[in-house]
Amino acid sequence: MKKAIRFVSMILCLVLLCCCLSSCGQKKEEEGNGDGDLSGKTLTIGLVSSLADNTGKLHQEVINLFIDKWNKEGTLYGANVKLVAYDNLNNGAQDTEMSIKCVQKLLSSDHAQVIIPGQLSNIIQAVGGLINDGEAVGIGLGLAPTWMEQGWEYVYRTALNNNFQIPSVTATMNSLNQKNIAILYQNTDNCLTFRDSIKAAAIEDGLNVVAEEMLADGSGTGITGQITSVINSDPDTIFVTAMGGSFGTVVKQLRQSGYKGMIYIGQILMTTEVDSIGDEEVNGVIMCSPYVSYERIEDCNNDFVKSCLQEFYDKYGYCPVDDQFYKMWDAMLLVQNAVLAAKSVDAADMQKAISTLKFDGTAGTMDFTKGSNECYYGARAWVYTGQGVGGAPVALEDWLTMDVSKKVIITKQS
Amino acid sequence: MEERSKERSSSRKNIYRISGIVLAVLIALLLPVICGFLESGAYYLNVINYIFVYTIASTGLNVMTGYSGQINLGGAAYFSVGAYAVVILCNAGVPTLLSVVLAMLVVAFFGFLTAVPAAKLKYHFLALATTAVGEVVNNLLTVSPGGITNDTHGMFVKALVLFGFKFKSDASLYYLLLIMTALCLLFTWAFLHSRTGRACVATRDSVDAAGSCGIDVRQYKIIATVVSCVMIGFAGFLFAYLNRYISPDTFAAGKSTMFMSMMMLGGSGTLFGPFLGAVLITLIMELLRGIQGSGPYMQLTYGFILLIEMMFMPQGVSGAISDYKYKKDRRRMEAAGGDGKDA
Amino acid sequence: MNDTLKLILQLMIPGLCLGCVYGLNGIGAALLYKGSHTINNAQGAVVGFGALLGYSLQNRGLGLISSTIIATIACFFVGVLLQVGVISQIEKKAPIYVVIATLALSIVITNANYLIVGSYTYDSAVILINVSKYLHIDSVNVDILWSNIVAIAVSFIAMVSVHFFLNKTKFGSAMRAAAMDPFAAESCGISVVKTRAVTWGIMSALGALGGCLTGPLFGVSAGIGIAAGAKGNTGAVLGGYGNMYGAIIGGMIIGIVETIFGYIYSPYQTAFTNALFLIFILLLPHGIMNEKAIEEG
Repeated sequence: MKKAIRFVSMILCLVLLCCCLSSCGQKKEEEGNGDGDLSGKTLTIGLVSSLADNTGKLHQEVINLFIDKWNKEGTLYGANVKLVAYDNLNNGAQDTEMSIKCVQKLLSSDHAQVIIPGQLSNIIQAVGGLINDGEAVGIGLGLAPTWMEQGWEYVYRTALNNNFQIPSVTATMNSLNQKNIAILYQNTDNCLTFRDSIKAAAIEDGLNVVAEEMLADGSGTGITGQITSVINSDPDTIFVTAMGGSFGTVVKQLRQSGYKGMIYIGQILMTTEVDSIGDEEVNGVIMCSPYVSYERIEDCNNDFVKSCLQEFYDKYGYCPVDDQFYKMWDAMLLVQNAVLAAKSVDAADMQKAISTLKFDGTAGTMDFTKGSNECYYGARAWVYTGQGVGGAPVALEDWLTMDVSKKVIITKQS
Repeated sequence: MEERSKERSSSRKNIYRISGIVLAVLIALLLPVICGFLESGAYYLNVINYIFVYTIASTGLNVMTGYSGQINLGGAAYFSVGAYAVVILCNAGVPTLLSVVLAMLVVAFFGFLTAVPAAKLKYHFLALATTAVGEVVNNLLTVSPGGITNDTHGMFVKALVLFGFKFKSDASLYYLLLIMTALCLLFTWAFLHSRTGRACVATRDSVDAAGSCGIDVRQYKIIATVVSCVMIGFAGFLFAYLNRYISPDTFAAGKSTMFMSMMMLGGSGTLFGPFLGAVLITLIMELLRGIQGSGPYMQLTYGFILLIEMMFMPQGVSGAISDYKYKKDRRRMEAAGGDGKDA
Repeated sequence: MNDTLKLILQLMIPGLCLGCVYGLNGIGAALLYKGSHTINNAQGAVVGFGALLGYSLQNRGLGLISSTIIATIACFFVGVLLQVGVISQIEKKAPIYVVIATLALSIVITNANYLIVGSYTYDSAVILINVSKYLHIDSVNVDILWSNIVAIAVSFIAMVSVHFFLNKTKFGSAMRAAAMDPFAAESCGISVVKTRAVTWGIMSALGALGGCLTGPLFGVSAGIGIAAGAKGNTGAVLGGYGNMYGAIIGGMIIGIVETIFGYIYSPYQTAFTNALFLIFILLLPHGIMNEKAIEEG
């Protein structure tokens, strides 16, 4: 017993020693030299993501691209910008508890003024309160409306809220005369709210939900049962909402089970997923999104997006496959404009400045003046044609005039 | 002459011990104050709070696995039941203290429910069965009947209010957790030195011998399991109020593995082993997090630590230390010659 | 009538295909338990490793068949290495530690997979026969994927060859002897070290084969095997732990039942499957084949 107590005291001393040692190395921030000049001040951007996988790598690459540019050109009134990235992966999945610890560390240890808690809505939901209380600018890349409903003043979104996407989805369904829809969803925060909203919107717009099935998460589990059930309910179209990265499997299985209609998906497909589904099968996959991903920069016909992609390509030598690229790019634009408008790297000043901001982002004008902390309010419909390498999607109107649209059963009623 | 010097050295040892204990208690009591002066004090305090919660959970696991010899790879199930039960009851308007008691009863019943059939399983199958319990409970959290757990949306937890005091700051939670951890360790110690506890340890050491001594093996296995589950569930309740947000992904199978690895790394079957393990694993992970660019390797390192520990010192750190001491003593005795053999 | 038959075919064939993959993993679990009285939690990680290896070989320009064969053989040696390098060290101390050591192995291998290939899902080549992906059955108007049928057929071939290897070859008999009584076998000149290593090899090879076979259906990703590995254990329990034939039947039942659960009420699909496992291990521990490995005491 006594031996053990001595042990405990030793451990406690060790903890204390660690605390002291690691706090020794930190320097106090220097004061700025007056208004409009932030040289000597540091802007710390904190990132919480799964750094080991491709999403986290892409997040870091985009942030580093901006930081290098800013620091080289002194864009932010000479302020020094640095990135502190923490990993929240726990046993193969991003974990809310880990994320909470990461944000605690970012707030109290690194004094980050800007915190980006990744792209998963449940994680943003878990850490949003902390970020708000810690008075740092939080930029969420998730799509679920839930975390925005908490009324956190400091938390912003640089992506499209699902609730703003749904009107275009149901409008598209109505315009194509697709009355019976079936829903496939995964059991995540984002997908559940998406399912509920789409059901409500469908009833309002006179559509019938003929079937809804939950997909088991994790690959390697049979989803054939759900897919058979959905197909046998004979829908005009199927709406799929799942985690980014798992659409490929679902679309592939739907097509392999002989479904020939259109498939609405809740998020854009990564170009790797398009490849994994196959050209013929991806034809007729439709989504409502502000942007799409491209395999080659030449496929893009929006000048602004093209220049962003080109800048990324010049630095890293590949074209980003994921819509995380656009979300993070917009987040960085937000940081840049906030600092420029506030003439300060203080989070409270930035927060005040953001509510007056209106500038161009990857999906058109980012408008923060409406007081909702959101910036995008609408989406357009894109359809994959499955033609050519990469198969960049085209606008719905264009697709309907193409020959490939005849291979897909658009509606069963006509 | 010799005896006097022995006496003196032992009294000096006692002084060291007492001053050590006093120092430890002093540091433990003043830690929040010290952390207040440090630059990243809030973060350290937060990490220490998590260590306390995990200490309670792995101590609970230790009662079942370390002392009673039944492996449990579904610790996260009881952890989550404890957390969710308290939060749901509190949200329904039940007073906090009453809801904690009710929740612990729920956990105890749930533990009993799994312990009765599981007590007859051999350890490998107990490992499989407890893993399955963990999975089923986690599945039920994600698609709960009537949505009482708010499914994958997760639940926000209000600040803990006990006896009119609001535990909102990390410092206040620290003292609460410190007291709770001390009480849990004390309880474990008392339990082990009770008749029931001794019987549990006897069933671990040899089922047949314990049976022949008139111990009802099955009954004591069930008792150990229920006690262990309640302690893990209690840790879950504290976790909910520390984390302030609970969602099913926090209680996935990885958590069970973590409890197990904390207990094993510290040393299973020792009172302070789980505490040591919780400190070591949390510290290693947090120190790794501090090194920029180490993010992708954190989980890999964690796996390697566990693997190497299993390969080279399955008795854990405290086992290795006592092993080392034993060897040192023996060497000293051998050097002293015949003296050692008599003693 | 035709509709019912169609539905049955639609559900049964993919279910059976999955079941066969679970069965392959179950055989490994059964052999391992018979051979050294331990369980393996790292099987899922090895399945993922095998599937990724198969995919990367395809990327190097090899065909589906040759890459599957090479990945299977490579994983045989991976299994042998794991046993010789890690497991045999721990087995000597106490078998209970193997349970946790394999959990640690699973964490290490899965995270290494993530680090090497990233988190994307990759596409594996699809099995084509007569330039078509589907076998069309006219009478009930249903398309069945060749990938499913081939996976079932290959799994059956693998199962039968394991059966013959164990019963008709000298080394197989040695393995069975070592499994029955290691000490007696050792005294007859059988190297128990060798038989245990080969057991791990066979287990890993079968897992990798299963991973490669599901590649064309689900796509290949680092975490593809986790569920399959765990369900191999589930199948083994259903069939009676330690009985190879029971494991095959149990795996198939799990595969089919899982698919049917998905059809009937999908939100509880995973919970139902896990609950089925729990019911069997707690209430019917002898399983379908009445194997008495899960003893009382």
